[in-house]
Amino acid sequence: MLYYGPVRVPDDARPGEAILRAYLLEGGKFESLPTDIPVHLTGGGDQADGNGE
Amino acid sequence: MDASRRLILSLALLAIGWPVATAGGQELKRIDRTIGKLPQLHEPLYALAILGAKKETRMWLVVDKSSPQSTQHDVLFIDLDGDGDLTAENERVSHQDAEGHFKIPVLVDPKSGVEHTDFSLRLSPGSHMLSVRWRGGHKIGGGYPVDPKDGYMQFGKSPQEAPIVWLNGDGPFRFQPWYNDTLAIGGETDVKLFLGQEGVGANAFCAFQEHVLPEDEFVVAILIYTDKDGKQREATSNLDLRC
Repeated sequence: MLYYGPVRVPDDARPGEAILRAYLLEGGKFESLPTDIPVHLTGGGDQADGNGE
Repeated sequence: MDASRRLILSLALLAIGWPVATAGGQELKRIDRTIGKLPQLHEPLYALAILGAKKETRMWLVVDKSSPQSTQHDVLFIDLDGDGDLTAENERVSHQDAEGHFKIPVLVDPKSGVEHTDFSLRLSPGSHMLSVRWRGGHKIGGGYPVDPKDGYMQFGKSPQEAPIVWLNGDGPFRFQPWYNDTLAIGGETDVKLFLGQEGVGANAFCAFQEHVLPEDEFVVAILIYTDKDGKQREATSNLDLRC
């Protein structure tokens, strides 16, 4: 029922909010609408968490 | 992440021209919740199923106690012909199997004429789950939460509080995460996604309940993030596992 896999967050990412856009490749069995899923990035050293100020 | 943050992010993405699937079913929120005619009810609970990609069929489901003395919701009224009148004799389902499922072998969409099979509604404490074999094939149903600690779908105490479930196995499809919305910078985090249709109300996502993608097809996930210099970046992952 679930499709999953590891999502790597690059080292240069700033902590805070980001978007994970999910979709199916065109030409496959099913069509999808790209769906934007809000995610929160944490860690990454001494950057402030939140708006990255 | 709270609703206001989600909204700000969505608006920002729209502003730069990305096609964004609406989270929360904006179109479905505008659907008329009027019910034309109801039988005499004791302690009803309501849900609304919308059928098909065009969202043409509104099918109310009302579960009730067959008498004030009943200890459980043991009768289902379902608007099989989509006319808003739930008093027809054939729209009252009282049979439940040993596991408490209400079942309808064939469900015909009154607008499109398409036949779906094995409709099932299972009532259990804290969870009112429905499913159907779309066009007699893949099983879809819901409603699913992002996080099960929030509970699963539950019918509402009034039509206005009713969850709306979009039964549409024809696509195009959307995604809903399961559990994790926090990702570690510099690391890898498993992200799990449902494939299906958004609904309205808490925990109303309708998902495929079996694996439907061919083995060589998978979900692509692009992480759109801001780097330490304030520039927007993207990183792509393939979600090619299934469970």
